[in-house]
Amino acid sequence: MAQSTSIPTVQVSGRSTNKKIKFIIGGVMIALAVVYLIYTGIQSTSAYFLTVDELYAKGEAMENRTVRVAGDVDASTIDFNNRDLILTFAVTSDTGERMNVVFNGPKPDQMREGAEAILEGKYDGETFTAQSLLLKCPSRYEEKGIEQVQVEAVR
Amino acid sequence: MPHIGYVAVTLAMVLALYATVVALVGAKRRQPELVASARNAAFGVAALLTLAVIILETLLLTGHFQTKYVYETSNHAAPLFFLITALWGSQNGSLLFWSWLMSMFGALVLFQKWGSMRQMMPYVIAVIQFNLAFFTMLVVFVANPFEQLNFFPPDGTGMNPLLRHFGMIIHPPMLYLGFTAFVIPYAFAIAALVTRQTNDVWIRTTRRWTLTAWLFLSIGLVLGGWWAYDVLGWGGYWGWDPVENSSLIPWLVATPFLHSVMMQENRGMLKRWNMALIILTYSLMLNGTFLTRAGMIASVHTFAQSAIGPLFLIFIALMFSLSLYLFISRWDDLKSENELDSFFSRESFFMFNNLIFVGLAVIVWWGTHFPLFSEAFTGEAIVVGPPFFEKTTAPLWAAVLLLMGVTPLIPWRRASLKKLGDTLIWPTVVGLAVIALLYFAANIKIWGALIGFGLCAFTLTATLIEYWRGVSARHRSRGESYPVALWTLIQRNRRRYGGYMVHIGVILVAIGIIGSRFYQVETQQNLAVGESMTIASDLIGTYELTYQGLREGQSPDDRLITEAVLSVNFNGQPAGEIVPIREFFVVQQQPMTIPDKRSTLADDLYVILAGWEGTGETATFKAYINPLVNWIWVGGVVFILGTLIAAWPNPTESTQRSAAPVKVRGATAAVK
Repeated sequence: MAQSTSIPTVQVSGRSTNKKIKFIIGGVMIALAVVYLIYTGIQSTSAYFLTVDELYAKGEAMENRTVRVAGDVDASTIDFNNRDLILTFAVTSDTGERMNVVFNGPKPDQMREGAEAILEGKYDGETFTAQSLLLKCPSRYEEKGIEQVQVEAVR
Repeated sequence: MPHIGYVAVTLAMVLALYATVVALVGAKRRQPELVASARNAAFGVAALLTLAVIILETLLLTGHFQTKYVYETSNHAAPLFFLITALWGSQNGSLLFWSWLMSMFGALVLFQKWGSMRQMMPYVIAVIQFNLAFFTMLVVFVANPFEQLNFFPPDGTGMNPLLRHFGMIIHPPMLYLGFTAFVIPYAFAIAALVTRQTNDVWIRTTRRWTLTAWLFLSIGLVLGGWWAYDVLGWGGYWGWDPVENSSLIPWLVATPFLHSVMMQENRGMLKRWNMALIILTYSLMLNGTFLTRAGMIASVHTFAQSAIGPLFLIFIALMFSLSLYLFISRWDDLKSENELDSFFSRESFFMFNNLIFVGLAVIVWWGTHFPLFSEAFTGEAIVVGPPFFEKTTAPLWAAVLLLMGVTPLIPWRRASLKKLGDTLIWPTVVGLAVIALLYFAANIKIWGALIGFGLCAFTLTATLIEYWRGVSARHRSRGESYPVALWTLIQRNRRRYGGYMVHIGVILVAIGIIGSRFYQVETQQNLAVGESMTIASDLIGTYELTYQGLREGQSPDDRLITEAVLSVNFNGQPAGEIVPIREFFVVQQQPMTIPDKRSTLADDLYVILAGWEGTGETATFKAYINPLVNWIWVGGVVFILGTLIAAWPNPTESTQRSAAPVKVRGATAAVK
C-alpha cells in the first residue's frame, strides 16, 4: 500500500480494476464450470420418475431405458430364491395397474405389504429388472425413511 | 400429566411471540424495560419447554402408552437408554426436542452476551424467539407429542428396530444441535444489519457459536455415515439420498463462512459475502429440515401430504425474504474496507475456495431438488442419482483439496510467484512421488484415484510444513525441544493450528473415501456347511471364508437371532471368525440384517447373511472388501479434535478480543 500512494490515483484505480477483472474472470469461470458440470451430469445420468400407469402410458418410449418407478408392494406375490438371491414381486399403482419386478440381490428387511417401493432399472415390456430397490413404510418411518432401506443389485 | 406438557408448549409459543413483539417495540421506542421483559420471556420459553421435555421423558420412562407418541416409540421391553432417546425417535417428539434445544441456546446466549451487546440484543431476541414461536406452533397445532389415545394399550409398539443403534441414537441430536445452534450467528447477523453495525463485532461475538454449530453438524454427518455402514448392510456409507443431502448442503455453505469471516476480521473485506453466507446457511438449514420432515422429495407424489409442508414453506419464504430485504437495504453499509491487493494473495485464494464450496452446495441442492423443478416445469419428474452427484462434485472436491494445501502457504495481501513456487516445491514433489509409487508399486491404475491420492499427499505435506515452520522457529528462537515447541505452538494459536488439524482430518477422510469408492470389491455365494468362498482385492489381498454353520438364539427383548459363523483366512493365514447376523423382531414382525466386519486400517472385510435354507445346511452370503474405509472414521475423530482445539476458550485471548480489536474497528467505522 505504501508503494501505491506515490503513484498517481488514476493508475491505482486502473490497477485495482485490473485485479477486479482478473478476479471476476476467475469467479465466472468457476460459475461456468459448475453450470457445465450440472448440465452434463443431468444429461448423462438423469432418469424419469414415474408411477406404474405413467410407465404403461408411455409405452415403448420407456422400454429398456433406465427409469425410476414408484409403486406399492403386493406382499402375496413376493418370492425369494435364497440360493441365488433372486427376488420377484409385483407392485401396484393407485389405479390398480400391476407390474412384475425382478431383483437380483438380498431381500430388503422392509419387504412387506403396504411398503412403497421405489425401483430403479429397466422395463422390457413384461418385467421390470431393478438395479436398485428403495422401500418406504410411510406410516412408521417419518425420518430417515429412505436411505435405510436402499439395496443395490449385484453388479 | 400429558395435558400439563401440552399447556407448557402452548404457553411457550405465546411467550415466544410476546418476546418477539416486545423486543422489537422496546428497541424502536428505546425502552430498555421492555427489552428486559422480552429477555425474561425468553428465559420463560426455555423453562416451559424444559418442563415439556421432562414431562414427555417421564411419560416414556413410566410407560404411559395412552400417550400416542409413547405407544409408537417405546415398549416395556425397551432398555432404559432407548426409552430416554425415544424423545427424538419420531417426528412429533423430535420437533419438541428441537424447539427445546433452540430455546436453551437462546437463553444461554442471553446469559453470555446480555451485558456486552445491548444494542443488538433486542433483535437477537426477536429473531430467535420468532423462530421458536414457529417451531412450537408446529408442535401445538400439527405435531403434538402429548396426543392421547382413547384407550390404554397394555404395551407399545416399540422403536423402529433399524434405529436401535448407538450411531443412530446420537446422530439426530448432533444434527439438531448443529442446526439449532446456527440460529445464534444468524440472529446476530440480522441484528448487525438492523443496527447497521456491519463491522466484525457480530462475527467475533458468535465465532464460537458458529464453530460449535459446525462441529455438531460435522459429527452428525460422520455418525450418519457410520450408522449406515454399520447397520444397513449395503456396504456403503453415503447414498446421496435427499435426507442426507439436506444436512450436507448447509455444511457446504457454513464451511466457507468459517473461512471467509477471517477475511473480515483481518482485512475488513467480504462483508456482503459473509452476510450472504450466514443467511444462506440458516435458510438452507430450514430448507433441509423441511425436506426431511415433509417427505416431499423421497417420493414426489406424496408432495406436502403432511400438514407441516405448506407451513414450513411459508415460514422459509418469510424468513428468507425478510433477510434478503435487510441485506439489500444495507448494501452500502457492507462496503469493503480494503481492496484486494493482489491476485496472488491469500485473500484471493480464500475467495476461490469459497466459490468452489458454494458451487458444491449449488450442485447438491440442484440435484436434490431437480425432481421438483422438472415436475413443475415439464409435468414430468426427472431424478438424478448417486452417479450425478459423484460425477459433478468430484472435480470440485479435488479443487478443494488442492486449495486447502496451497492457501495456508500464501501470505496475506501479496505473494510473489517465485516465493509461492519455493513453498510449493516440496508438496508437489511428494505428491508426484506418491502418484508414481502408487502407480508402479501398489498397482493403482485408475487415474481418478491417483489424482485423489496425489492431492492428499500434496496437501498433507503442505500442512505438515506449516506445523514444521512454526515448530522449528520456536525451537531455534526459544530453544524449546520439538514436542514442547509443538505444544506451545498449538497453545498460542489454537485457531490456526486447530484449523490445520481439521484439514488433516479432512485429508484422512478423503483417503478413506477414495480407497473405498474406487476399490470396493463385492461378491456373493451360496455355501453348504464346510464350503468356502474367496474374495480378492488387488490392493489388499485374498480372503477365504469357510461356512461353519448357523447358531440360533433368543434375546430377552423378543428378538430371534440367527448367527452364521464363518472362519476367515487372509492370504492363507487364519484370521479368526466373522459372524453376520439376521435378527427378527417378533413384535414388529421385522427382520434386520446386521453385517459383521473384520476391520483394519488397510481395509474392512464386510459380510452379510443374505439368506439360508432349512436349518442352515446351506446359506448365502454377500461379502465386500472396502479398502481404507476406516480412515474415514479416524479422519472424523481428528477433525473433531481439531475443531475442539480451534474453538477452545482461551482465557488471555478472550479479554483481548472483546476489548482491543473491537475498539479499533469501531474507530475506523466512526471515521467513515
